[in-house]
Amino acid sequence: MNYYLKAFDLVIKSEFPFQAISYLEKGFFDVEVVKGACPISLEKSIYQGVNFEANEHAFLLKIPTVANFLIQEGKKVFIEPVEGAENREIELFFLGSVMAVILLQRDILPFHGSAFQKGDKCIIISGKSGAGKSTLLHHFVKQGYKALTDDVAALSVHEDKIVLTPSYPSSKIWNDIMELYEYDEKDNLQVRPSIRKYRYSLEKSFCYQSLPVEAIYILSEHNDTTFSCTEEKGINKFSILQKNIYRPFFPKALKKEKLTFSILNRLAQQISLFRIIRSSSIKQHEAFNRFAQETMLK
Amino acid sequence: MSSLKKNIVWLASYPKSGNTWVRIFLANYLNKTEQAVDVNNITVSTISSARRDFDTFSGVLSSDLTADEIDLFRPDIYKNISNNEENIVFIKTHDANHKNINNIPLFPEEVTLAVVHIVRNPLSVVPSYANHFSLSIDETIKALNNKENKLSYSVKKLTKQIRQQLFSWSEHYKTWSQTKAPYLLIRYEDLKANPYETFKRLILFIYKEVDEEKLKKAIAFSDFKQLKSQEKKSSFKEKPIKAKSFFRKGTVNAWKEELTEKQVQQIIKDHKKVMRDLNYL
Repeated sequence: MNYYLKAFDLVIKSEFPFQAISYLEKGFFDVEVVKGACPISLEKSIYQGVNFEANEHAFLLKIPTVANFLIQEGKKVFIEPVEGAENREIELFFLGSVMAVILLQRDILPFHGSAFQKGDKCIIISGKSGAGKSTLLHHFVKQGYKALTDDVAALSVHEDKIVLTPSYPSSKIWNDIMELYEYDEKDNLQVRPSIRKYRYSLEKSFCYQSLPVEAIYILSEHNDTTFSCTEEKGINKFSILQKNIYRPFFPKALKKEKLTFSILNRLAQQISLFRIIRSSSIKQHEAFNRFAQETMLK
Repeated sequence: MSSLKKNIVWLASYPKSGNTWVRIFLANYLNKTEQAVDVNNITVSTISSARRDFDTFSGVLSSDLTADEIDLFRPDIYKNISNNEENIVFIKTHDANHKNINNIPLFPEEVTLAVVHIVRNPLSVVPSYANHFSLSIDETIKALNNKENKLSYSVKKLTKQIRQQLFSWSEHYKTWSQTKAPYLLIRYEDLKANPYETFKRLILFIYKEVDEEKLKKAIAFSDFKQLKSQEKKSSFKEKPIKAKSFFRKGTVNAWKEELTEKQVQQIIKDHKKVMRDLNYL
């Protein structure tokens, strides 16, 4: 049986029933996902990373406890699940790293961040894992703002501007953040049985339209009770953006360095870039959200 | 990945044993300016449990993996860190020198240039560890004797760093002292009593030669009072929010005032063999 799904404005025909992405009518598709054997390694591999390798046409991602994924030309994905792996676990890695590869193979740059709509543009909250991107995104969602993505920000050139294509209306949040926002665990599925991180539907507060990027905030935390926001200017901007590509070695593995340079270069010129620092103290959470809202919506 | 090269020096220690002090010394020794290195910007070394390093090199995000799965990828992460650096890479680690669930050593011999093992009398580690992790002295004594003692572990929330399996204080010592790599043991107490000789031994061990001027400068810039004053002025990012300061007393005998006789006897009972081997008894 096949399921028709949509993510990153791509129609995906899949043998796997992924829950987080909405179902569509049968018909045309951009990407086909099938269950099938993956090779142990690639022929004529041009790049070997920690658990991935690539040649000019294909990318092999290996997660020994969940599944192996073979991604070809941004069009076809073979998934070989490990015995006992659940669909929700396969979906987790499909929507993250596998989609990042598909996007790159289609000349779209995956950037690491969450985004929300601000007027006819969008704001990206970037930063490393644990920085608090999803937590802050949910603050804006609770205030009525619409989300465009919560992990992978798909960037491409459209009419001379860098635009973000919305991903799919779902977010991943940890148990402590569920408690913080008083979300009910029972309504949401854990992304993996062994990790208390949950899928949270954003269907009611999702923007389905691609929007130009206005600003990027690189979020981090420090062990102090204060918070701050400073603007970065000049050549620094490019290298900061480069560090926040989703899976930074994927463009090199896929020989997409020129594409990456071109998109980041335009992006650096188009956006305002800020470093925003929050307190690691949970007591400062609400005050920081107010500070971030005032700063980002100015 | 191109052929592997041995360029990683592991700076291995139990927490609160002087590892940061050694890293700051090395940063100052290698620093080309006449200024003291900013303690919040030590670029010569990384930490084996840094989530950012893992996420940079791995094909999947650490936040989507269990701690055991992360450990499966760690040996290859370090091989990639080694491969990406021409020079010596210093990596601080608090993990015991152990294997992952596939029985592969976490710290691959193929890329290990040397191990610098920093140890401190557990009687001094206990009060410092208690202050750092906001634990009571008795809780800390139990932690240091727990074979499953670990840092940065939670299934409920995303921890700042990836899990570090420390083991007990004695077990931690044993795992590193048995390494097959070139090995230098440094006692915190010797750094305190004879900084010149001890830091010189460290530099000679790594570089086979020493620049006396740089050595003296680096010792002065990493002096405890200097670090404490830097922390007072601009805070230190590695200080937990609940701890009053990262650089606390930096002494070797403060435990005499901070531990009860019963607590002292318990620590000695737990770690007698290794304490004797290290001349702490």
